[in-house]
Amino acid sequence: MNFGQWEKISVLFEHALGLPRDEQAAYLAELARREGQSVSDEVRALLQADQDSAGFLQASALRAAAWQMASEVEPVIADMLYGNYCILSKLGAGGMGEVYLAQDESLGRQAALKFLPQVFMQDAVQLARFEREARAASALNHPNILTVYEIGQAHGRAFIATEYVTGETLRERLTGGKLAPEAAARIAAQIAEALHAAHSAGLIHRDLKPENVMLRPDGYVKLLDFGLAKPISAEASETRNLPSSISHLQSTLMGTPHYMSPEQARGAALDARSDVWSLGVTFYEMLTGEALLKEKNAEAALRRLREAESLPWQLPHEARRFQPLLQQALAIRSERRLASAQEFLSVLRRANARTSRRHGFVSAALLTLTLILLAWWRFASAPPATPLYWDMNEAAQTAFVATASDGLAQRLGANARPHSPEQIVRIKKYVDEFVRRRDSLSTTPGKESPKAVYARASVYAPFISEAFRAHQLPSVLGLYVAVVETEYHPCTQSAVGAKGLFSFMPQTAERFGLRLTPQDERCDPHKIADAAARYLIHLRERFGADADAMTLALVAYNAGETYVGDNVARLQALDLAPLNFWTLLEHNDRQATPLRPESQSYVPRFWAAAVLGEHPQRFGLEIQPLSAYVMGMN
Amino acid sequence: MSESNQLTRLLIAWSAGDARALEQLTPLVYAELRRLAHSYMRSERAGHTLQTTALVHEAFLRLLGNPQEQWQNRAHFYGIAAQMMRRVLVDYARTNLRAKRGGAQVRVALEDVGEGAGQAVAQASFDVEVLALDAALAELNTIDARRARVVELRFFGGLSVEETAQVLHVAPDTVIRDWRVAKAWLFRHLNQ
Repeated sequence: MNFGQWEKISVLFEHALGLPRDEQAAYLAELARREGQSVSDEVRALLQADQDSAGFLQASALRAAAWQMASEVEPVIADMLYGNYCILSKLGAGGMGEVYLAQDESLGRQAALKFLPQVFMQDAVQLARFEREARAASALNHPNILTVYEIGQAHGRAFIATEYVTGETLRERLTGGKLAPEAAARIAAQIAEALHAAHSAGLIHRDLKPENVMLRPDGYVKLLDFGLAKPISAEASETRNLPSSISHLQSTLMGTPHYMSPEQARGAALDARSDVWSLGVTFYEMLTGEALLKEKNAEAALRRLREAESLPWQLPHEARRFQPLLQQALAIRSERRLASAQEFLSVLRRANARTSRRHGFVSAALLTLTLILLAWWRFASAPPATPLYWDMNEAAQTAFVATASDGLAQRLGANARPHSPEQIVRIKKYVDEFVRRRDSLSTTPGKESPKAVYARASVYAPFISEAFRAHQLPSVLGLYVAVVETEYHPCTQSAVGAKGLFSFMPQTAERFGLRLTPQDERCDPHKIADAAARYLIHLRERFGADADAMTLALVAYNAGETYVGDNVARLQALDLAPLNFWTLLEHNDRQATPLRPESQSYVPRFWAAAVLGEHPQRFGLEIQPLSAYVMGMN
Repeated sequence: MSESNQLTRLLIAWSAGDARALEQLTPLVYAELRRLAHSYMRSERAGHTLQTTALVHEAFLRLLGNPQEQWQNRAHFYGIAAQMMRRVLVDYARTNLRAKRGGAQVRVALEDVGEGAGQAVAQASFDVEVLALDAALAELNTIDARRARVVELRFFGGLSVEETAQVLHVAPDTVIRDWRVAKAWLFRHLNQ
């Protein structure tokens, strides 16, 4: 286009811009007649461009450049060592810095390194926040919380080293639209688990949102970014000491308004219920594919949160069963809200259990659904007014433990025999030990309340059951070995590395196909569940498959197969029967190398764990029997 | 001589045709912009809006001193400042792009994306877009110098409608119309 052509077209275009929209077509037609089609087309294209370019050039170049300059980072250099970490590749840029995949040269494992942007290195407030994130998260040891290895500084950069998780964020998953209610519930349950662990440790996350939830390909959920997390007490005192305008300003600047609780938006003191709100908002978004707050603008969203008496929302038909849960999680006034992540979890489970029953009735022909039905039957056939274990007298307790133990024996294999009174006394001792912990607030493994242990167990139950069934093993075997071994702490460390859910020694791990490097697969609950099943099959092959032999396999799991094998051979030589753990125990003093105390208690503890886990309603545990959790339905 | 006096002297020299003055100016402008950008970043967490007007005015004021004192008039000052910013920013984008070894990002419109994910997109494509826009603007300049100037003042200089009107000695309404026409032309040109 030359100067003359443009001069003419610009005049015509400017005239067209001044016309009402509905007259433009007529004008373009007239132009086509008067000036020719190409001129008319050119003006039409410009009108279109005018409409499409609303935001174009709206921000000045200076602003864009300033942004760019401010977020500039000295690139982290590949092959350079940061502490013990050698940078391998860039994983992405998060809200607060860049993340790199790195190899820990001393331990041989992979890690994700998150670097604080350089612009914040001189900034004491941001540096402190960064360190707080590391400290807060590293205080937590939970399968649904990203494990922090360490915090470090090297080459003028601060970084946090965490476990390396593959997969996508919940935000990415949600770009594909809403999730199936079962999938959404599985994710929400794991987030609730993570929050519960954080709350028990006295921390509020304060920034739960889909961006901070990582979904591993195996269905595992990891909660990230404890950047805003604060001790509950510090939060309260800090807010008290600040004029409300300042703390409000802080919240405004630091959180993402769309997932904030109303009290957070107002800058009030926060407790666990604030995270429950954010979890509710996140769950709602998973079920509907839509944000609870539709406001695009952060200020508008904040205003709405501060001022709204209620927020309207609606669930699609298939997710209606979660209506009561969300009503309780999304109560504007925190005192009317579910008080904890654990309450959220139990209401969620109840809602899910209800559908399981419905489904079971509708299509009982399907194998999995039959299993659910059976599970439900066991669950629901217990009279609703079942007395709690600790409300019964000693004789009733003993009778109950005996019935439960004998029932369990039948599930372990053929030819199960009833337990003797002495055996029941041994089992009951460990049932009572669990019961003594029932009000424990401790988060130390082995000292927690059974509520905490079994709530955690119910998360793992579906895939442990599946792994064991896949190997034609009774699922109860895996479900309760994990209680005895680690009480469902999937990644505690020992002198020989991670124990995993099933406490594998490095040799056992390698023998059953788990790799220890570059990542210790013992911490992968799915992989170790499968390995545990294969280990138990191996033991079953050695000791036999009936109920008696399974008790030997169990004690061999703890004491070692050669050792138990020698002891069994001694029983045979002495012509002692039946060949099971109890006989072994009874004649322990006749052995060359008797069972150690830990092994003597192993099988009774397994039974006690199963008595609780299969009769949760007797122990005030808000779960289904662990063996009732089925993949896809928990 | 104070820093801003030195800058003013360089700016005047450059406007009078001294090309080397710009070379000396550029690093000083970068440094100042970085300092400002960082201080804004610190006070406004990622995702929040930088106050453009305040940023631009503070930058100019600090860089060049009070225009009334040293310049024959405000309009002249802003006109030269916008030109300088264009040169500096285009140069900055070009350097960045070279550093990125090819950085073949597909361009999107230079939109005011505001918050969130869009911000990252805006940053990633900033360099490519600024260069494309600079070229398109040069082309517009050959057929419509006045409207090209409006874009330079508003987009690169960060001037408001009124300030642009003062620099060009036209009515604000004219600036509004010219801006709209020029934007449509550039948008079409860049998306063709």
